[in-house]
Amino acid sequence: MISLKKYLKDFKAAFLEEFSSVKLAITLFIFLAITTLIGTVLPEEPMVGQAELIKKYGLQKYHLLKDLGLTDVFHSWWYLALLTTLGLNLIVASFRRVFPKCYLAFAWPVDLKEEGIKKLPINCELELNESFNLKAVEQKLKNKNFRTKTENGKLLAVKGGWHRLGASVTHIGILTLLFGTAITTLTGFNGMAQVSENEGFYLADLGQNTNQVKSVEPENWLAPISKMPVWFGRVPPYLVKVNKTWRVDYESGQPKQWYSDLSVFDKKKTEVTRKTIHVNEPLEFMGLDIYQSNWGKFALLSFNNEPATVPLENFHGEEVIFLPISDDVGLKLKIVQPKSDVLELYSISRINEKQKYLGSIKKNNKLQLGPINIGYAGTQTLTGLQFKSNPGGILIYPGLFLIVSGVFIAFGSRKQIWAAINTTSNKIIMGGNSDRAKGKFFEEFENIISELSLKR
Amino acid sequence: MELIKNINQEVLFFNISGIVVFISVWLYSASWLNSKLKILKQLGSACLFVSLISLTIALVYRGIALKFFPLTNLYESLVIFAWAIIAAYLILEWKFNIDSFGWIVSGFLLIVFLYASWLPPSQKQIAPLVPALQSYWRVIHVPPLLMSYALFLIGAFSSVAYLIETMLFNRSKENTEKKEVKMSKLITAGVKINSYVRDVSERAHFFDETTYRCVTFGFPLLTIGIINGALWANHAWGALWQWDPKETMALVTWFIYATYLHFRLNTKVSGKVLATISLVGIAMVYLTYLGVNQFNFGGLHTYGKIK
Ligand code: HEM
Repeated sequence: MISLKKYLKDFKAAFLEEFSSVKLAITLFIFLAITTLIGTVLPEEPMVGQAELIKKYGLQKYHLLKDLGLTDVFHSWWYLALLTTLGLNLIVASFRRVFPKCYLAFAWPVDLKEEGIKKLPINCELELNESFNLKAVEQKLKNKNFRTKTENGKLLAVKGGWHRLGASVTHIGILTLLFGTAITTLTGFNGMAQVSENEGFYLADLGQNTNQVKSVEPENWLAPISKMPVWFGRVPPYLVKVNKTWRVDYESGQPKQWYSDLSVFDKKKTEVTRKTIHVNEPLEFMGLDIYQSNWGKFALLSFNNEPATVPLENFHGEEVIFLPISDDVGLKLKIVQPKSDVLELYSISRINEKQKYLGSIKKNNKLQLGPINIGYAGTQTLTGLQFKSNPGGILIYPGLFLIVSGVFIAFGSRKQIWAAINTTSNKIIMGGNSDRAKGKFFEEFENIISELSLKR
Repeated sequence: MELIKNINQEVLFFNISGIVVFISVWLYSASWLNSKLKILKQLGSACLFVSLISLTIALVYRGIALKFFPLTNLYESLVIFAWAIIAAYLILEWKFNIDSFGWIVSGFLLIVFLYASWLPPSQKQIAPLVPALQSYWRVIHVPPLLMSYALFLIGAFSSVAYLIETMLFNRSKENTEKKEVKMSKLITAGVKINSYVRDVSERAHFFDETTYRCVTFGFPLLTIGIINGALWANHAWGALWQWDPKETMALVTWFIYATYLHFRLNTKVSGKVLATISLVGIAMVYLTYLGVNQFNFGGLHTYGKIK
């Protein structure tokens, strides 16, 4: 029993010791750099898809690589392990090494004896006279923005200590950010809805179903959410309604921007907020963010009475759909402008540049074309909206802010200067050091001495 | 018509900028070969300054034609990178008296200029922006990154200089055991200052510090650039981080320079190790900036791709 207790105590000590070391941090940085590089160079499954990887590696090699986590490095257990270790290291080291050093920002230099001053990286020993005495030196250092203090024949001076806070602020920021992203990635939900003008959607937990379904209300949909691994909380009961959606083009016809005018209604159907969003300008409301993610015009067709919503392409200013039939021949369906109430059909061929007119379909009519029956029911504009909850957001943004502030505060260096009088030899001994930028400090030190000696 | 006019003027100022850089290469090289010719070095810096101004004018013309901050394709990005290198170098030269590698910096700039003008026309076109890129985030995401790359580049030149210097110095040094060298300097009659430096020459020490400065200035900028990118992605796509190759490469670069800074906390780490890390860092910067697209790692950030 006792030995177990001792063992645990030893273990704790060893753990804290190991995880507060900067050496471990550096090792992890290097490992993470190398593995991240590997993950960047190798094609990743979430990016290129499984089929592509099997084609590239062959099935056997693919399975081997998958077991090693090399097909999706950034979600592999060992990458996660490296990040977790870095997180632990960061937490332990921050509390045991970085934060305790904060006081250095305000501390006076440690008291040094004459011998100590002579060992400083830069030092000198001068005759005591009217320009080299404690008073003159103190005045000079004060003019150079040093904080100074004299007591019993000794002078302490320090400048630029506050940059010591930088490391703490940065580290607090990283911890806050890590915490916030952990909350966001482990809890919360996201999803996607495609609706047209005057339609709306409810966020709904549809279980395994990932497609939106018609709600009992005629104009509205239920948009499924995908939940993160840890789920506590509830789906907000909002109805998100699209009042209007449109697109603005460049003169050349390329899309410039997509817009959606959205309203959010609560359970009692009262509007709680309204905003026109576009790409890069989401609606953020009570922990729910809604983004404009895509936009498109669709033709409502039917093939042998099977309805299909097909996206329209903009081809030389015409709104068309290309349907390949074989490798070389295909159908071109063209919406006749400006009212979009007629659909024209052409056959096209890769070999022969010319297209052949086949016929046209009026809106809400059908046309028999060989074995297929094609129906046309007009066009529809759908706006693609992405939504997500961001429960860690209240930590992520301050975290990022602290990291940036911290790295800025960490500029500069803490410069310290000591002076002591030796009454027996009638000399003043001065010395100094700086935790960084030694050369610059040496220059400053030399300047101070030469300016003092010039006064003579 | 207006557009064409602007573009001609832009090309004119871009070319002036390139030619002046070419002259500064010669001036800096001559002053490097003969250190007494200080005036040539000053002329070289003046040339770089002229180049900076004229590049700024070129960018303004392009910005007017685009009605946007000109940072939409590889060409514009290279021009701003060149701008950042000149600005960073001139500031360092002015604030910290960097000398002795102006010729490398201006020589490198010349390569950037040649590469930018060699790019196929499709990369230089003034093209409309797709919806995702129309955002003020673009303006605060990329320039800090390019500025940090410029600083890391100068830091890397300084690391090379450090490595060369220490190799030469070690060979000529008599007493190799002593870790610290005591030096004494006479300032005026009777005023002597002792200083201890590490077992490297004063010049090597200076190069080491220059790299350190570049990294301490560059690291915050890199951090800000990556963070702004994440915030932008969150605004545009609803995800802070998507493990896109450009993002992950930037993360690699960030880890390397974080390594540099934390190594630096331990004063016993040799300057050679630090210089080597800075060189690894610049290789990662290259992969992040151009390599991701050149070597086809894929992903969302495709503007640098040459078809
Ligand atoms: C994961 C383990 C980490 C450990 C053990 C660690 C440890 C330390 C320590 C001991 C210091 C010195 C504090 C002082 O002198 O007051 C420091 C400084 C610093 N750390 Fe970390 N750190 C870690 C991660 C990070 C990360 C991920 C960053 C990313 C930004 C970072 C950024 C900084 C900065 C900017 C400084 C100030 C550097 C300077 O003053 O030159 N650290 N770190």
